[in-house]
Amino acid sequence: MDFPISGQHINPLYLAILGFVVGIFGGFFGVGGSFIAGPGLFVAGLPMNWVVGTDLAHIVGKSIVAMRGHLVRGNVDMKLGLIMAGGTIIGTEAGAQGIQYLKQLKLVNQVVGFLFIVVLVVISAFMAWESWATITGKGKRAQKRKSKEDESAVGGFSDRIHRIKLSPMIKLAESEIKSISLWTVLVVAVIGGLFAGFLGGGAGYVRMPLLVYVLGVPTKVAIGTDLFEVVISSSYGTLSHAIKGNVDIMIALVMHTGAAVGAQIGVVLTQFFRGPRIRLAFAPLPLVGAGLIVYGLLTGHPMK
Amino acid sequence: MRNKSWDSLKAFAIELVRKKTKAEQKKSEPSLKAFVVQLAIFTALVVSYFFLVLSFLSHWLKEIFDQDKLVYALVAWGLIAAQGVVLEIIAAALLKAVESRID
Repeated sequence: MDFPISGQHINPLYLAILGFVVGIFGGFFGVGGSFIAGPGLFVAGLPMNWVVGTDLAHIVGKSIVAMRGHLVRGNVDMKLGLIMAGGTIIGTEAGAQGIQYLKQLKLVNQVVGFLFIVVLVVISAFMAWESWATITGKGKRAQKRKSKEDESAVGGFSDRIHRIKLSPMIKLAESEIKSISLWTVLVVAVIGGLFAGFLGGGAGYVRMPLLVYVLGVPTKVAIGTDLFEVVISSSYGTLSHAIKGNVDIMIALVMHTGAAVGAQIGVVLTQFFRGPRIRLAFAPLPLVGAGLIVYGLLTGHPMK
Repeated sequence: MRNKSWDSLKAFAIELVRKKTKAEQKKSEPSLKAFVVQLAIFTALVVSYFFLVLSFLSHWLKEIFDQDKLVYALVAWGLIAAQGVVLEIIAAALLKAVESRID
């Protein structure tokens, strides 16, 4: 099928299946799945600036679907999501401006591709280590929370973050956080936004670990809140990148049809798995995305 | 009759977003059979939507993209958000309909 906005020819079934897989990830892990969607679009022949913008657009529709499932399960901290949205919008615009600059230098594929690989490998390694250490109880500071399903090998780190007394201090009851600096939350939000605007997608692969390990938000609430926050931030990213000519909305719409089906399955699956096991299952997935980008960069032509 | 339909719609919309207690969640979890049937029907509807609607939008969107990027941005956001919301509503309504028939 031809996609005249970006000037590409891509099989719509490939897009729908890509969206389906990403939809399951979104519903189950609470991440947008751009660590698979982005590389998947890149190896299909879409240049990186279009990948970033189109993936952001696709995230809008998908995250609304996945978020509703978590909303009715009480997994969304609205207060936290709304606070983070402001910081994320700032970070997203900064990332989008970075993409425009690289477009002018004709380096967008190489720079974004390389950074994507680095980020995905680091995240995968860290989450694998942390969740395995938690499950086997070998972490130095394995900490039991109120909810036993949310043990973490690095639980002590978020406690140290909570002790940073930089006012204003806020309370996040839904996330079981008694006191935390607003600036900490905003810094996490800006970092997430920067990744979203520069690498595309909702940046849940960065934001969710930050929510869990830095802010200390329980995993299930982190999943739902991340999705809520992604709806807001990806909307801004879509508008910004569309104005800059980086969004092929037809590709996003086709991908989303598959994602809408996949998300139904993903949300239901969260009933059956504990926090550390969800994180362990998530850990290898970014490596698949990294592999796809390496393939795309090395071969320089789309996977057929 | 009209009021009854409106009340049903309102109740359905509230049910879509209302926070549920753990007991209500447990009760509202679909049976495997209902979920599979709903998923199958939903998938068929989505495929039909692709062939009957999406495949005709390309050139119209390309025109807007070429003429005015701001309008294109708003249309693009509106389309993807609307598709997300509408598909979710259809999925939820389907599940309710399937469950009531199976039960």
